[in-house]
Amino acid sequence: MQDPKCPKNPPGQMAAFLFWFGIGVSIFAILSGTTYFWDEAVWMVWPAARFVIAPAMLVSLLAVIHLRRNQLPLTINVDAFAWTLLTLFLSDWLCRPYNFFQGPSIRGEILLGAAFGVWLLRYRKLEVLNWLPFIGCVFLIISFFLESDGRLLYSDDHSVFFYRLQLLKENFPNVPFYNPLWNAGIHDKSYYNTGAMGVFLLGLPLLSIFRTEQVYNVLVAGLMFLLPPLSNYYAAKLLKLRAPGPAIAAVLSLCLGLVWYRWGLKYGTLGFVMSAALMPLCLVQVSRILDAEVVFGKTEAVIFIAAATLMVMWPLSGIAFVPLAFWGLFLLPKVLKKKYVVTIFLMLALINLPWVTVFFGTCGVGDFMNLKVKSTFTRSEQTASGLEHKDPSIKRFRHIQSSPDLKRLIPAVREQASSGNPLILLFAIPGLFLLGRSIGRKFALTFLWLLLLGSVLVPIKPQLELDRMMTFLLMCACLPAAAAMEKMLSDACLQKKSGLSLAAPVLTVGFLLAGLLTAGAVVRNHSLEEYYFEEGPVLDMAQAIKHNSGEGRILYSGCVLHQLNHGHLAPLAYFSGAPLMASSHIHDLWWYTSVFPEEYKRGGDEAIRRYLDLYNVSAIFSHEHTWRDYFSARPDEYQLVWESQPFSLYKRLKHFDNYFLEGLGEVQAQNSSSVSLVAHTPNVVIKFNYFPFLKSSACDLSKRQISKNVRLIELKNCPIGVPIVIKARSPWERIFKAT
Amino acid sequence: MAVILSCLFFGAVSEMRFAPAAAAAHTEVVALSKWHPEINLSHNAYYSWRLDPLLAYVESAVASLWGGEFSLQSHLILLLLFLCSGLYVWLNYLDCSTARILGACLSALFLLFVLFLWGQDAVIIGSLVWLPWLALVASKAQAAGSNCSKSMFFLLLVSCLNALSANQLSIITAIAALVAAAGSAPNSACVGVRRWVWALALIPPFLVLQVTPLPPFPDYPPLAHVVSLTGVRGWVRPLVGDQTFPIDVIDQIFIKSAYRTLCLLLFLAFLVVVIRSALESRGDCASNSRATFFLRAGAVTVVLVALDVLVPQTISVAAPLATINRLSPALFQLPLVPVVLALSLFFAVSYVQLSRNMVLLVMIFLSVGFLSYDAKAPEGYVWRMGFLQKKNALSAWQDRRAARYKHILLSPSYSLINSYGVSLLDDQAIFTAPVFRDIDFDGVIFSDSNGARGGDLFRLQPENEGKRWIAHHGGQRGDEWLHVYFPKLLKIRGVELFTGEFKADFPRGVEVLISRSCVAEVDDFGSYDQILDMPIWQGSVQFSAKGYPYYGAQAEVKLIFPAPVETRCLLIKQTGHSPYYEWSLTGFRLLY
Repeated sequence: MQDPKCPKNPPGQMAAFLFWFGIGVSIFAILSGTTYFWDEAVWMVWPAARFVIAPAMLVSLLAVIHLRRNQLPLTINVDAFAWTLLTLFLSDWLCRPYNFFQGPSIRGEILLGAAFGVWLLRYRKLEVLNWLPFIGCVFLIISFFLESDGRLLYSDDHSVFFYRLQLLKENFPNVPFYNPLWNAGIHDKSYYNTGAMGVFLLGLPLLSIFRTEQVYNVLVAGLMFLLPPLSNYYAAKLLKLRAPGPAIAAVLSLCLGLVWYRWGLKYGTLGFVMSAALMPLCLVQVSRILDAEVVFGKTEAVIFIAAATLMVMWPLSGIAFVPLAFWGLFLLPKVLKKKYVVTIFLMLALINLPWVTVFFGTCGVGDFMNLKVKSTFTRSEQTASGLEHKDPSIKRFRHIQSSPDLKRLIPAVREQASSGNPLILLFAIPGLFLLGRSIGRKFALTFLWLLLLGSVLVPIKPQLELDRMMTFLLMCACLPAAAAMEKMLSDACLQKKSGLSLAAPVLTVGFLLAGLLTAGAVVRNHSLEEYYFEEGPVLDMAQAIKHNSGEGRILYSGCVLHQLNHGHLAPLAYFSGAPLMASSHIHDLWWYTSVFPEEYKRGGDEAIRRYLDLYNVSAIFSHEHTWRDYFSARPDEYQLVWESQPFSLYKRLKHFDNYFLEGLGEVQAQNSSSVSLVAHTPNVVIKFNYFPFLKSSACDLSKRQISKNVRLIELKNCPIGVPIVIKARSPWERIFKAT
Repeated sequence: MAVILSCLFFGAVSEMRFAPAAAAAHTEVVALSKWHPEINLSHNAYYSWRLDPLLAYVESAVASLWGGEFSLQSHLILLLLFLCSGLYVWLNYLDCSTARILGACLSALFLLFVLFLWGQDAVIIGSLVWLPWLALVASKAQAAGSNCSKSMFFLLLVSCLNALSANQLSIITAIAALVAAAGSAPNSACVGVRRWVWALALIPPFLVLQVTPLPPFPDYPPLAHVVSLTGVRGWVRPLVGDQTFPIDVIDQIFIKSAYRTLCLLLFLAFLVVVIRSALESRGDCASNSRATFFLRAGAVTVVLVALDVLVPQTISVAAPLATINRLSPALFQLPLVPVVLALSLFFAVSYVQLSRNMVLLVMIFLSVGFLSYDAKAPEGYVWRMGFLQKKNALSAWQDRRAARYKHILLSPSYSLINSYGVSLLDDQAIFTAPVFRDIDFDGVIFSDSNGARGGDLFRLQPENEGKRWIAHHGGQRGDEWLHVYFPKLLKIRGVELFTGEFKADFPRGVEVLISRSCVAEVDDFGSYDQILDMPIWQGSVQFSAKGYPYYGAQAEVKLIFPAPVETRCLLIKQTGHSPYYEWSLTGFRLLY
């Protein structure tokens, strides 16, 4: 018997369907562009979106007119978007490169999932979907550890993040600090802007018990496969989505798209990943705070404080809440009256203000924001060895700086959408209308803002890489998408749909299930976004460093980016314990940059030798043929002692290890935050880079300018024979001294 | 009956020579009962397989009693015995009201079909052998209910035997057996018992899927291919697990061409009978409903096969069989079409036993007969390989040099080597680094299918680098040709049709003919000798570091002849089809 609450054919349903179908097809046309049937080079369905939008909008308009004439309400019809999904299934969308669902074969898995969906809907077993998040998490975690096979994740920035966690473990809470193990002393400050601090705090229980290399993969697995579904599940519960809505939201967060695994597994931007995982939860909670009718609970308040703190520890995430912040300003009196809100604000301030102060006070945020960004290379800047960075004050990034351009909107959206999960792309729109007026509007406003930030406004500050806001958008869109899918599936059960009317809902279930399989395939490295584990060359190189560094430093000639096991050099200082030098040991270079400063590069052999002596370099790694030829051609000066493609290690034969440019003494120890030495003369100049925030335990510390780009530490009035420690002032000392 | 049939079949070969559908490094049963790599000589599947270790142990124990050795053929005969007897028992269980002779005839016919179609294919035979037994015990277990532990024990036992014999294909035959069991007594058991039956029947095959190893894979480069390209985008592989090959190994094009006709005929046969039975109604409702069940089960299996072989690859890759194939890396090693087609025959004989309707049987018989007629197999072939196997599949394996190159033949390169000949492996140096040289155009006369006599063919001269000769058709129709007349007799080993920047303009199929005595302008090439024929141009043959041949990029059209030839004229025919790309070249070079 039909449920009277759910009449099978309410009046105006067809018109509503047509209206929303027109919208859905228009959205698909915009996202898809030129579209073929089934596969490219079969039949072109439409050459451009405009050929579809016009008739689709016309259909929608006619449907609205029909409804208005008959005084019928325009209800949300999620089925229309499911039929749009069917259109997507039949198009060449699934066959495009870098698509999350790799067709055409994936259609088989989707149809298999749809067959399961038939059983689910026919026998009204929707509660089975509640198990999916658990199954998905376990499946992906197992897949990840099977793929890692005990190896350390070392892809791109994972190497750097691993090193950062290790340094945080050694130096927290004195962050930032002076690290003499890299490049003769650097201001190691990338812990707040990268979100490493947040990841460190989240993983502190594990990091404090186990070695970093033992738990790094576990942290990654937790951030990628546990945190997003937990966050989305809880957020969906707060939104009071009916089962299996929260489960669907959790599953969608695991199948966000290829772009998610690109950032998380391939690039290793874990701070961003953590922030993105928590964003839906924070967005829901902020929306609830701003909603005068919603009562906040104690548990919810505590969770919000924790989630928001961890989220904003990747500072750029805060920018996503700008519209809601303005919204809150208008409602401030009402908001402040709500229970726990003042406490929340106070706690957030108490916890976060200290690190924010340190971040802005010591990490050069202003300088970074005001960086000169060149838009193009001129011909004269291209050298024989490729594009080389002549002026270090002019930075170049992944994006080109220019003014906001609306024309970027659609190409940027298409680029992100092509790697995204079509379930989220299509069902988020109707889902916004199902979240309730208040929450729905806040979500819609935030989505619009993220869309603009991630497309049109990217060129304003290329250094911020605002295109990542689109990933935030995708993650947050899981919630409305889940609401829409839940409604559609529940209605299909209640109305006991059968036959053709079941086609679109079961296809949706098919996409949901196939999404987990596809995510598993991505984790098993069966996609175009390949990521890498440490295979041996890193530890082999660390051993070579240990054996050959002597008392000096080892330098990497040329420019090293991903040549070492597809990752960066950063953790080598930890694995080897030896001080190293390179053009960059982390990913802050977008163009070729030589390790030798300009003034030494052009001076021939003598200048190179002088630079190497200046920094007490005892051996040199080389991976570029020009430098390898250079060292091989001077066998009286450089001896090949180790080789492993693509690196060769040359020991300097006519070199005496000495960290003292002037005066006498010995360096007793160097660790990740300090140098210990003993001076045998009162005044010494040591071969470590100078920074204004450095302090010495016993001497007067000042700068000795050696050349345009080289500033070393000069120590005066040192006690003889007494251990002297040089390290950075504490962050608070630096802030108060500056003020 | 089975013993007689098997002996007749295996004994009919004039020379008692093992002619496998698959090749393995050993032929002894004991060695073959451990996991070992095999290559199917027809569809090129490269997989891990083992003979039933339990049965092999029993056989070796029995053989040791008389001081002999169990050969593979004897092992297969034994399997066929089990299969035939199992089928006989199963058919009589289904309907014992008829004379037992019908069950015996149907069992024998099924055996005949299997042997005619697949020959001595140990994979097919090993997959089917326990199918009727499993269906029988599953049906009895369902009927007995949860109280009968004896039935459950036998079910588990037979399921394990099925898993040991059918290996990674046991999951498919187990599901088929369960379907057959459900059809034999649909109303007998409650859902709870049925779940136990399904679990006991499926757990052993599931475990086998986890332990099936991947055979050692050669060192092909990432973009290599060893079988015909299907045109399907991307790398089709299982989403779950990592034990899979980095390139496609199974010759899907061959499977489609080999199974197409039979599948279509069987599809029509089932369709006719399904429609007929739907129109007619028989008196015995219980028997009718069971008969209809098996008819539909058979029809469904044929439809599954049809969706794989009768539709373009870009669609069939998403079809149910291909999708199920991809669910497990172990299952992905073998194509499912052969075993599922065999299952349709199993359901067909079950239907005939219940319905006593011979129409389907006759139509299947006629289909197989038509296939054997159409195949035009050489004499004696049918007794070796079966009609669904590749006609010349054995040529490389039976070459006198095969023993020397066994490790390379027993690899996914087999199909390539078989089409080129084992001489390819002798001439590895020529294929690895062929040096094609520009020709001296002085005195050389070109003509082509456009009617050009020299004309724009000057573009093929080196000084016109980048310019191209093109067969103007707006595509490739298969009737284009290029003729070259040399002023004197040349001894050459190959020809390169350099595509330059026009990488998509390679010939889709190519045939090379020569003539020692010819004239510059000729229209009739009847007297020319064919020296190379590649109906589908796969790419130039290259060798991996460890000596395994593979096809390189199709855009590199380097045709190396099996042996040096002396010729005055060279005729290169484009025999393939492409609606989008024309055949063109920007350079013409020879390998001396």
